[in-house]
Amino acid sequence: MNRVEVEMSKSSAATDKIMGQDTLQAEASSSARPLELDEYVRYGRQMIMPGFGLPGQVELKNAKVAVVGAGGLGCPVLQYLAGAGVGTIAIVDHDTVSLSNLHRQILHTTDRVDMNKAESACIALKALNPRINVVPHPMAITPSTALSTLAPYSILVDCTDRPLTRYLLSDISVRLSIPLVSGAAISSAGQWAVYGGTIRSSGKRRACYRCIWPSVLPNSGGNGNCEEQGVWGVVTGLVGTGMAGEVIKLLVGKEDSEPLLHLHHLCSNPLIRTIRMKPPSAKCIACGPNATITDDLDVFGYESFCAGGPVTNDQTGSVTGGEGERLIAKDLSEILDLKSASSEDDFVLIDTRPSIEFGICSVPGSTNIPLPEILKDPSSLPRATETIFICRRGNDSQFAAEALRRVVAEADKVRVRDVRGGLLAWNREVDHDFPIY
Amino acid sequence: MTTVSDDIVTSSNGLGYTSASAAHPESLVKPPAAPTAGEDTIEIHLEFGGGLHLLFSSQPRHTIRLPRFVTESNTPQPTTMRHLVKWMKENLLSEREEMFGDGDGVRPGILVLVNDADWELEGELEYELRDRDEIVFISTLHGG
Repeated sequence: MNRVEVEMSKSSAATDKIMGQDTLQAEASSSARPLELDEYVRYGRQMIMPGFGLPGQVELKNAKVAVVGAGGLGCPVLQYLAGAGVGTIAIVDHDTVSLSNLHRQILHTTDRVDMNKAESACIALKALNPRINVVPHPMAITPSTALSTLAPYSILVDCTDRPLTRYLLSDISVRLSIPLVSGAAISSAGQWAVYGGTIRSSGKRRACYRCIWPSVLPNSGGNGNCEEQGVWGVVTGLVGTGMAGEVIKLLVGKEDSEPLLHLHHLCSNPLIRTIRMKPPSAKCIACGPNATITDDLDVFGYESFCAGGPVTNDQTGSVTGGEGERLIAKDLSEILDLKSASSEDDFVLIDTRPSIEFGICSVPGSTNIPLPEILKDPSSLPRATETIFICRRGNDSQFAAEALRRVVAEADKVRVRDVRGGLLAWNREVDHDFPIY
Repeated sequence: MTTVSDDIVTSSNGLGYTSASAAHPESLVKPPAAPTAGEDTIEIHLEFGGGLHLLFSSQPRHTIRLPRFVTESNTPQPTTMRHLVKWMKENLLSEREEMFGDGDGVRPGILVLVNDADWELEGELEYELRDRDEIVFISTLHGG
């Protein structure tokens, strides 16, 4: 960061000199140039555009932007900001690269699986543009540390994937009075907008993220995560690219004169719907006249405010289950071996995943009945004295088992269980060749 | 139970537009606007995004007809967003009312757009509906 600051003061002094001197002579001296010689080449294609020019490039060079999240949205954002020559870019991410990230998180590589994402993105950006200053923060953003970490920056970019960090970053943008470029993508849909800060042309404040989205909607389709619901790489790519565009527009003073929210769906027409957002809300608890959120972000209960979905435990599923209601994958394997040896047909293994996932891989002998169908009418399930449910990681299977238990009578003498840890456990404990996705 | 679709887009998208818009590319070219409503009714286009279509029979788009005027205390009044939201709760909502409604309005966290503007810019519940208005309901997304 210091290097850039030194360069900044050097270049503005140099510009002053140009003004007062013979221009030709000043340009002959290398100290008079605000950019290095190779940077004129590197950024030439964007500098020659009307309304951008050398001043625009110098704005980018002097800028300090913090990008939180180096995943599906962060990768395209970082790639284009680095390519365009944003002088200082902070990357905050605590997570490590996984193989299942690479279809969309295009800065990371197969070689760097298990590396911290901020570090991995940093390597990619330095290879792309060694002229910029990239500051990796391999850590989680938390209410107690976020404000001091992000205070040096003039634009925040929210590329995170959960409500807690989204509201936290919005509150930080309000506390620092800087704009927040916030985007999200899941499945085939995405959205992005500039929140907070002040519109340069009118001096008006923008609505903050909380003004527009005052509360988290539990159980709505939009608040799932990419691991559960899936996501197209091109959707995160398009949204991230749009977000990078907003950052560049803010930096060179070409931001939208009225705040806009962009909504994208891969299959919609038009592909991107752009809507006009309302001004800041007087009721907003972050930026309104009676705001209750202060610099002491630790006292705002982000966890309880954002509480929506259950916390998943990979080993067991979110609920541990009652006595005798669950079995481990090894036991299922033994039961399956026994059943195939005998001719008894009073056993059924039901896989509760969506059919598209069942089509990817399944345990031999299992029948696919997706959870919503089971819940709709548990009494229509095939009757057997022994029913075992299995799902991806042992959450949905518990709901299915519970639903069936409610409709079978004590006298039926049927046993209903589900597999703890689901197919992940099946892979771990029984069949290492079983595909994990 | 396994269904394999050869349509990669329609079979894997979880947030609406399951088939209608993808399967009908001809809708890319919009026909000239024809008069759609009689003297007594107006046509309203509803769209749900961010997963809200799940509350409305999993259909992202609905076209409905409403009376142009509703009679309140013996005087015909133009139909407003207040009437629309009430009508939707009574006629269109396929899930529990509290998942969509909050008093006369909608739950905080659902953004309502009237012809591509936040409805708060248009008068919110008092906005008087016009023929062929497009009303969009979206919730925020969190994935990244």
